[in-house]
Amino acid sequence: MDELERRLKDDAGRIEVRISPELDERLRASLDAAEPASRPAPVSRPRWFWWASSLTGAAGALLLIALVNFGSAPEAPPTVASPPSPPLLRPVLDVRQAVMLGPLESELDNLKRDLARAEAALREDVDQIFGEPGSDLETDAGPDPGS
Amino acid sequence: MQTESELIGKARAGSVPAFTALVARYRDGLLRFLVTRCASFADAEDALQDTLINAYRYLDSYNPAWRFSTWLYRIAIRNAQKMRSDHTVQLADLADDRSGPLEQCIADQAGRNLWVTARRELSDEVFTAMWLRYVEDMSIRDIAQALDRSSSWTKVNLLRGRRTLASAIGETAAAGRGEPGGVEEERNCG
Repeated sequence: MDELERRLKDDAGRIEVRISPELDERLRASLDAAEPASRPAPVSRPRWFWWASSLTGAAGALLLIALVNFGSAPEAPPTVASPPSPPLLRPVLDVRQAVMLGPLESELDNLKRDLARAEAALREDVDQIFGEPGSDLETDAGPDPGS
Repeated sequence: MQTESELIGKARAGSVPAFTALVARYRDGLLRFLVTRCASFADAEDALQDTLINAYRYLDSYNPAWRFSTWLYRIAIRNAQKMRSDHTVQLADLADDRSGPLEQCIADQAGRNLWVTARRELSDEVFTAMWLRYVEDMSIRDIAQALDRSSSWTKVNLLRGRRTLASAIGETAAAGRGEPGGVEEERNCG
């Protein structure tokens, strides 16, 4: 301890301070009136509260599992996008209404003639498209025996 | 005779007599310290009362890793600062007040008390560091904790305080000699 330190300690000792009886009484009274700033104590719950909480939680979990597994529809299989198909070519049909103007016998004859004409027209179209109708038969029958 | 830790345990449980016994050894020193820091003796008494009440109320927050006196002085320093800020009084303003509590409490008026000089020459924190070091015999670490400063700051400012006081009283040779926080230790603490 050097001179300065000794002087500082000595001079501090010369500062005469005493706690008076009045101040002592005041300090005791204020401490008796003071309450420790305690932390909030945990709130105690009845025993049934924890059972009820557990059961409520378990029921909620079961309900959630049920909703997840049974409540939703099964998923549809994934669809593969196919390229758009070209539109089908449909034959144009010329439909006409038959008008009965005469007796049924003459009308039937007219229908037969119309049908015969239509058949003849159809045969002509087929011949034009696929060739002569008797040529294939002649080829299959072999060479002419008379030649 | 109960140890300090036993008294702290009982005081934490709410025992006022245990707390009273715990702080009994510190009350006079605290009041003497507060007299040097407050504008009036009444303010010092109020600051002491606030300090003890705060310590009792918040005893749960005390960390046993530190000395109990360090924690008490830390509270006292804050209360003294609050008391002065309420009155808008600076520590240096008290130095010239012959009717101040420090001047009134000095028994031997023959010579100039060094603490009156210190209060005039030093800043608040350096004055407190000097007091805790040379009156309360606190370690550098405890002073740093009480002031909420680093140990390096405490060492450097103790040295500066010594030099300032030595210069003021004309004893420059006393500065930097044998001081644990002096130049030699400063080099080691980084």
